[in-house]
Amino acid sequence: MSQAKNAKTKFTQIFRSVEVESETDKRWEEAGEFPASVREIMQRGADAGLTRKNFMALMGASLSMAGLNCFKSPIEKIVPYVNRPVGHVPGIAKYYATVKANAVSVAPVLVKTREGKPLKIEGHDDHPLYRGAITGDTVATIWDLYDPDRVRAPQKKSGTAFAEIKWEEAVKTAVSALEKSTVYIGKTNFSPSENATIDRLVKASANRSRVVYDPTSSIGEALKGEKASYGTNVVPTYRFDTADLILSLEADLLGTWLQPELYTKQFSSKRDPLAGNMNRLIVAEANMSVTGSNADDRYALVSGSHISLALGLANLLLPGSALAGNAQVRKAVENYTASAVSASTGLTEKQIVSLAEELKKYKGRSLVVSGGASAAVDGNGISQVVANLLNTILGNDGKTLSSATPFYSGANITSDTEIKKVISDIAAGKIETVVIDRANPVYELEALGFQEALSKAKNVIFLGTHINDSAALSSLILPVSHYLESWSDAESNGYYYVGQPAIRTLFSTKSSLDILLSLLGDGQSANALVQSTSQRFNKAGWNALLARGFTESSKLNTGAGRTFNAAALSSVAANPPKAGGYKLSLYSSVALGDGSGANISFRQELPDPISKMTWGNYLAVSVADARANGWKMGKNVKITAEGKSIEAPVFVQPGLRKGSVAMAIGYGQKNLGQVGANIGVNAYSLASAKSGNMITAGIPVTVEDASGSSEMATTQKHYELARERGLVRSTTLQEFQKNPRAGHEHEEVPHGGKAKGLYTAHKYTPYQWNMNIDLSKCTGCSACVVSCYSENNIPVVGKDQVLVGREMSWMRIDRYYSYQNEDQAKADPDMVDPGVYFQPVMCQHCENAPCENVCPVGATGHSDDGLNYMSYNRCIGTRYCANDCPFKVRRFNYFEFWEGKLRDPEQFALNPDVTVRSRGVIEKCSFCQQRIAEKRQSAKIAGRQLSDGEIKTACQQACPADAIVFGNIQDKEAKVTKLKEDSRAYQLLAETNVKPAVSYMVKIRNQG
Amino acid sequence: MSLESVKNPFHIGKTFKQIDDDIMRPMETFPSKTWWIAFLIAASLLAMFAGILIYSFVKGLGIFGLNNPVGWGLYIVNFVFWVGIGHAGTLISAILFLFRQRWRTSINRAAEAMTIFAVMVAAIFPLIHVGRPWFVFWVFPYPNERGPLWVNWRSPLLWDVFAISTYFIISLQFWYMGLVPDFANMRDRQERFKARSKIGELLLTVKKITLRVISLGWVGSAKTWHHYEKMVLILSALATPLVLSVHTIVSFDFATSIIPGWHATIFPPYFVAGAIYSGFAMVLTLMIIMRRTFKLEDYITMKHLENIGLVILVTGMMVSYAYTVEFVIAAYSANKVEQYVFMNRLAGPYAWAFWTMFACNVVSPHFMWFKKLRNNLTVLFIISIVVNIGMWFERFVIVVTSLHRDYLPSSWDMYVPTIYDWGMMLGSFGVFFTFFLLFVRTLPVIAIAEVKADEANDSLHAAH
Repeated sequence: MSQAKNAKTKFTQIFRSVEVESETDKRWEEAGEFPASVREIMQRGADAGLTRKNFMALMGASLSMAGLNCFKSPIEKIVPYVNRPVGHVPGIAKYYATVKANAVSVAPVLVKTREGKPLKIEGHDDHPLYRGAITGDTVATIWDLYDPDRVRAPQKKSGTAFAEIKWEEAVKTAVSALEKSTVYIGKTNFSPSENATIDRLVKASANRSRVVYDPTSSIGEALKGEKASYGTNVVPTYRFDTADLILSLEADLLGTWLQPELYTKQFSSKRDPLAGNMNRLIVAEANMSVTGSNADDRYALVSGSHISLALGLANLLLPGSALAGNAQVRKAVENYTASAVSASTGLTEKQIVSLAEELKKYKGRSLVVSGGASAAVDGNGISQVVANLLNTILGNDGKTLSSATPFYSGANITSDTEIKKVISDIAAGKIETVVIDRANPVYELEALGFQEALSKAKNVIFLGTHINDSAALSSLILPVSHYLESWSDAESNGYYYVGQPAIRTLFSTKSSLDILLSLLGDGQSANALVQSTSQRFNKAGWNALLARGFTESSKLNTGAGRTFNAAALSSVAANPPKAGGYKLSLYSSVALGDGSGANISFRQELPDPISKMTWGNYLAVSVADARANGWKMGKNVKITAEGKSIEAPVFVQPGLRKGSVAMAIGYGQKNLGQVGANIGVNAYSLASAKSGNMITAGIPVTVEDASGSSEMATTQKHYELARERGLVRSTTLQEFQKNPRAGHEHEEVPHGGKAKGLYTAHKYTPYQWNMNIDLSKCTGCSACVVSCYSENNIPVVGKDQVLVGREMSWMRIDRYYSYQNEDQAKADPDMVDPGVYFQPVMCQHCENAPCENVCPVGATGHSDDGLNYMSYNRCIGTRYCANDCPFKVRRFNYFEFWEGKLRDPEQFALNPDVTVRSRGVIEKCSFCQQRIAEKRQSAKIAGRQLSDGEIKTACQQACPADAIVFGNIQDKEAKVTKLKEDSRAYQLLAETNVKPAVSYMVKIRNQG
Repeated sequence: MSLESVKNPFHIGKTFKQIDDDIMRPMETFPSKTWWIAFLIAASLLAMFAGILIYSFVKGLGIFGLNNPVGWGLYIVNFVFWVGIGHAGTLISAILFLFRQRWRTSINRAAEAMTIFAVMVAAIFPLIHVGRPWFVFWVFPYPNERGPLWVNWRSPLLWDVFAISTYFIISLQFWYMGLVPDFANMRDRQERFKARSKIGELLLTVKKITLRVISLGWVGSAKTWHHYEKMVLILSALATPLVLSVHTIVSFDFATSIIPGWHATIFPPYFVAGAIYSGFAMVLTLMIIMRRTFKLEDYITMKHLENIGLVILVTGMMVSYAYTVEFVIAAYSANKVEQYVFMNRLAGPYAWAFWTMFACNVVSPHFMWFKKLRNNLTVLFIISIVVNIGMWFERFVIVVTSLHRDYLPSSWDMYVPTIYDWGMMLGSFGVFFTFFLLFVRTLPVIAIAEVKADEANDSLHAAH
């Protein structure tokens, strides 16, 4: 090999052989590069002084080098910890206690993290009040964290577009803008640290003011009413666990109002028919809400007439009550006779009188609540005032509700009159700088003309996570971190919560507290502020507080009854308004709430508990109106209120009285992100502002036909035959006490008697997993469904696929409308008062599973612990199993929903313990097999059996009503075994002899 | 008309040379314009079929109208339809042979070809309708390194795999063996063709060699014929149970399931009767076209067509009986879910499909009671098409209406076939007719040797 050694060719520059590189070694050259024979190899080795060991090492090195490529491989940092953090084991999840607080609620949560990334939000089991209760919306906040559409860095408007700027520059710009006359607009706020900081910021200069508003009228309506009734700025704590009778006037306490998860927990604790511990829930409402569908008695009202009903009840109950001698009260209610109220509400006089009679029986142990957007008829909190009036008359105040340890004692609400003044000041140029803090007034306060005024403001500083309708009109955006990236705190129900970050900020964002502090310019960090605030409440020390996430700030007590200020009733109309025409009420939907989380596809695709609608809102109309106008589902109509009109499709909703129409807020935002923008219509634009206040209930509207119709992406289209087929079974408490087998009238038994079947029976290990679902407790709130999506990496499929019927939910909540018998059905042809039934259905893990037999490749089978398993990588996708499943719980991946569809950083929300399914395979509920495996392993290592209740499925864990019980049926003492043997227990389609592992408990209604 | 031909309506009365010339004419002349147009249409439909297939492999099965309650749609409807079509051929060749039905002779070749192509088309559907078609070979039990992972012998889909592949193999064998004497005939006729160019010569040589190979050295000796006749008899005996088993097993796909409307013990005989019904209707359609275009009226006579009409009448009534039994059983069962499914067929959202089926399958065959109508080509042709439409809808009614509303009303939904679903259906006809049109130009459409044998027998009897 005697080639020119130093020739600099194209190749030698890249690859230089040993001799070119170091021209000193001539040995190879003399001998030739390659040895000619084995003998020569050995000789050369001996010459070079190679031992056998060296030779093997060189040989190994050259072999492995031969496998190397000559190009640069992409850099992947998979460096293990040099010093592993103490207690950290890769693959083992860690949980952190923190708090999710937004404008309308506080929820203590545990954050499950794996390898430093938050994965799932779970309820806080150790909290004495919540005891693990959580809403679907809170579970869904994990996707808020990984939302790719979040604002990733501060932005400044130049021209019409936003440009990213540095934080220093952003803060400098904001601070200089704040020197002008400024209004700070935010929502209700539970955080003592934030409220104090905002107050410091506002009070630092005389020309700054603060506006606090609540467009959902949940806390806002309550605060206004409390102020009028008692002169206090707090929202009381409600104790549904101590009330024997609950009367809700438009308050969706089990769905969206204030703390639905906590209220559901309290409510369901008194739904135990066997122990005779049953409360009574009476709901008077216009639209069908989650609460109304769970009511023992539901009164369908004309929209906005709940005030009339309340005053009518007060009129009937006043004699002999604490307020009997109060002339002002008597004068306010005296015209609300049963007949007048009947004309206003649409109820019969008999219904009103008997309701009053019943309330009388429950003096001191009942609870009347009212609130929410569908209750806000005057913008002054009248619904809270009448609820207070009734609670005072019934002597409930201080017994079933307490202001001593209030639910809310944060920033006080600003009246609509003041808000209107601020808006006109902005429009007049008197206010030059508008700070919008995590709010969307352009969208929410459309009725008050906020948007037009905002265009006059010189500086608009927006603090928030997304470019929403308000941010789009701002001049400076300061991106706020997710609560899992921030230090925060909250105070509610006599507890002080501290929120700790579970991950470093994903983007160049700052926590809201940090931003506020930097605007103040005093250099304090959020962490330091929260620590110092916590010292006011916390005695146990900072680390103990962090470990637990909360501390008791004051003992939960009911306190004494307060004195009702009768002057609060001065604004009440002398006579009840007459029913007539269409009256519109707005409401918060379970899926979207106030709409701030609308950019999360999982929220958009969560079926509404009642209508089962996804991806959009609609005008709910009564069956009677639909029939009279010939409206079919999806017919477009034009709704006009005070000259403003919008078009929306019609949804025919049983449970509405003729003339009542309703529409969900939170939809129809023009800016938000790739998912959430322009879905549905903005119901806020129909809010009434004629009186000067923003009114969202009982708005007189006209409804006319518009052209065409819209496609309605509902996940359930039929509800008939549920009783005839014995699917949902129900009875009344009285019937049940007489006959424990009541409700099973339509039970069918398997045919064939003792026939053994073709195949040998399964043999089980010490474990055979079973589930029990108590239909008396289930409220249909859908937290389980969201939790299932989050735990099991279930994809959302989008509106077009839901329309075809391809939603992927592993568990769904079937909703049926039914009557106890034929006579009842005939008496109510317009379906004003149907019984509503919820039934969560997931894979029933049948012992004789029809799906297992039919798979040609054996991709689904039966495990020795009673699971009907699915082996995804064996599945070829014949869909035979899905066809043969009588429960239709198997889902097929018609398209690829994950690979290449995720936008960074969405992938971090995927659970690493659960396979992500590809296109073309069937998937279904696995009873959270990964959770079973995890606990079984740890039990095996510890050399013990699993104890009852040790394993919790994701749905069970999320259920705020404790309706779901999971356990080992082979264990005779297990709760699930006892429940399965209960007289109320039944299995779906038992007559087909598929032997489901899931059993249901007959729903018991505590009817009058 | 001779006395003999009155006694035997199937006697042709032509010389063997004439018979050869008549039947081989389509193979020995340049294709007509009609053929080219038909072939182009069929081939374009086949191309569309392939196109949609590739698109569905790339995008996923979501391009079709399937959804959660209705996991099987037009694919399976087409599958059962084509398997049904594939029944007539073997029935004609094997069962009618065993029953010494002489009229089968003129139509068995084309009917068998129809069977082969129909089964091919049918077999495509279950293979391509799976979610991950690249793994579809897992349905075959072969030793593998995955455990080994074995197939699930309890699954009727697996039984399908064996039923259809066995049926296809036996049918193909039967068809080929029947063709051997005719191949020999063709081989011998090649001597008369002379090439006009070098390429022509090459092609002719290839053809000659091919024919020599596939005629398996047929010499036409008495010994050969003796062996041949034995073999046909044995193959007929083997194929006969298959005629019944294929559709029985296809019906198990439905009958062994738990879905009301599928789970019925009458399904096996009902499906076999339906298959023969539709198969004969298809034979009728094809024969009417073929005898007209290839001028084979002397071989496929009105008597043949009339006999097919009678088979349609009988099987049509069997099918009607099965429909009735299903309803009676549902009413008698006191099973509310079962009863609902059948009421839903009568009056539900897919009632139009049921009544189409009813009109086509139950009403139309009764025209065949009348001799005059049985001898009217137009009527026969219309009936044959109508019956096939009806039988397609029967499968649609069974597959779709049973699935779309089963046990839990909460999961009820509608199945709306997309443009791709319909494209695949039309395309399957394209695949079938492409093969069939190629067949009529390359192989003798009537079994020449058998016709000649029958003619020879006639002459022998006449001599006495």
